[in-house]
Amino acid sequence: MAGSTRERPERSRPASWDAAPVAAGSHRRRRRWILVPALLVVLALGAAVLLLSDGTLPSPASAPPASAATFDVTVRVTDVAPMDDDGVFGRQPPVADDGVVDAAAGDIAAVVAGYLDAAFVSPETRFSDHPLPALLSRRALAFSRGADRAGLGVVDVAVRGVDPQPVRLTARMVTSGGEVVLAAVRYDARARLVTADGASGLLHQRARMVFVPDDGGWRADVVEADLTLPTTGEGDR
Amino acid sequence: MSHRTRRTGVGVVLAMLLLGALAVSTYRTVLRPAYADDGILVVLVVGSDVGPPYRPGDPLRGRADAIHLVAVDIGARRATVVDIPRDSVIGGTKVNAHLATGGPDALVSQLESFTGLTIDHWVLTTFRGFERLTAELGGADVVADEPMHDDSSGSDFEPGPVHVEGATALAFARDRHSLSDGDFGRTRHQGDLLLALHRRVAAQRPGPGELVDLVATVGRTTVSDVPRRDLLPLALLATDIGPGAVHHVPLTGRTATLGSASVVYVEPGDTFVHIADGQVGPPATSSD
Repeated sequence: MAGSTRERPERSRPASWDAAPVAAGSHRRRRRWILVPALLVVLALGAAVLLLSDGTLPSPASAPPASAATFDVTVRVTDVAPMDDDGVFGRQPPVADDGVVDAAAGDIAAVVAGYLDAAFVSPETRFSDHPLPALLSRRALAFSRGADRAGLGVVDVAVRGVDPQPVRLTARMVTSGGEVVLAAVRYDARARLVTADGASGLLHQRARMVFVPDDGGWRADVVEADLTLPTTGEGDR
Repeated sequence: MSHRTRRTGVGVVLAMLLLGALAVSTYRTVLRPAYADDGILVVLVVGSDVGPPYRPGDPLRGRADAIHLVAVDIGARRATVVDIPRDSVIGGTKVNAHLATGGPDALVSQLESFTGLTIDHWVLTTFRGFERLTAELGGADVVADEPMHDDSSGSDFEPGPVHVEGATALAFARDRHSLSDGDFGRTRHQGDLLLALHRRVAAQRPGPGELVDLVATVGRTTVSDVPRRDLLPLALLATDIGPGAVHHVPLTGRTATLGSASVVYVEPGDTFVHIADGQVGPPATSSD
């Protein structure tokens, strides 16, 4: 798990993730006739490797790190709003200490980081419902059993490797009685992903959540999550 | 096969292979677990005439200038809003006096006896609280059904649709002198404002961030006996109810005097019987 309230330098990505250059310019037709055989050769070689390897991993140079990397989540508190009556009834609301707010934000970031690692990185739990109890409130977890949970990563997909990118989480905190009682959170989590059948691309989860104190920690009580994955074909649903 | 045809075929195959390699699947999850699963929830909404800065004092011991019962069929996502004139005789005196003498719990007790309903929660605001509530929610679109020009409340509306927020919303809610049906009309206007605020909030179908704003706004501008942990699920419930699923029942009755006071004897008919039976929301039409 890698939750943090501090900014960290972005991890450099393997060269193999870089996009191939696109041919262009005045010699387009000629280049196309160079490009077509070259692409065919590459595809044929790729197919041969897959067939000969009988489903085993290709060379390490083209694969992302197996599972050593984790999501590095940094959090920024954008607003702190009290929900105590704002002097309307003749008393001033207690003000939450900055330390209390920062601690809550850090705890929420840690919950999100733990969920992201479990949902998308850890080979033991990724793309299953195992990570959900550590993310969702009891109410949301019970509600989720009747809902489509694919946006949270409960997707039937076989994965060869995942390379997570740093996540910037923003949180708007609501306080009452000097404590944080609600937090509106949003983030975009991205990772390079290679499926078992070789499809590669960007995993992207865009999430907006409301966190509440629940069961001694922070849990998401309201969730809107959109997940995009490279298609693998048969394994997807 | 011509060169041109062969080139086209190669191009199509390549395009299919490349598209296959780049294809993505998208998934969406929305979890909005609202308050409970079934049953009827009844909430008493009160506007107190005491509270700083306009009338310093304890708003929980003021007179109830606005009294509304909001009954919600939780499972069906339907609601009925009943307006009770403040001058109604309930419990042997004007109903608004029960707040001053015994606080919200006394008012709840009297209304439970009168209506036969169990009131689950009460929510109370003040003049200032209502001003801020309407302003922070973006105002309310209501209709002035007759000219409203009253120095006492500050109302200044020509007949027709009006957008009110802050001080103008409070003036619209307080004016009874301009209205031909006096306290009945004022109470009806207060109910109109409640429904208009609900329309505004529900129409936005607020997402997680907006829900937090809504809960914080209501928290800042009201006091209630709602447990803090229930505020978010209640906000979800309220925003899940479509504006068309809310029935508005302004109670009327006959006016009289009690001692030296002008009072109202309300005639609720079957209103509370229907709510107790679970008939909440707009009545079914013949086509239903």
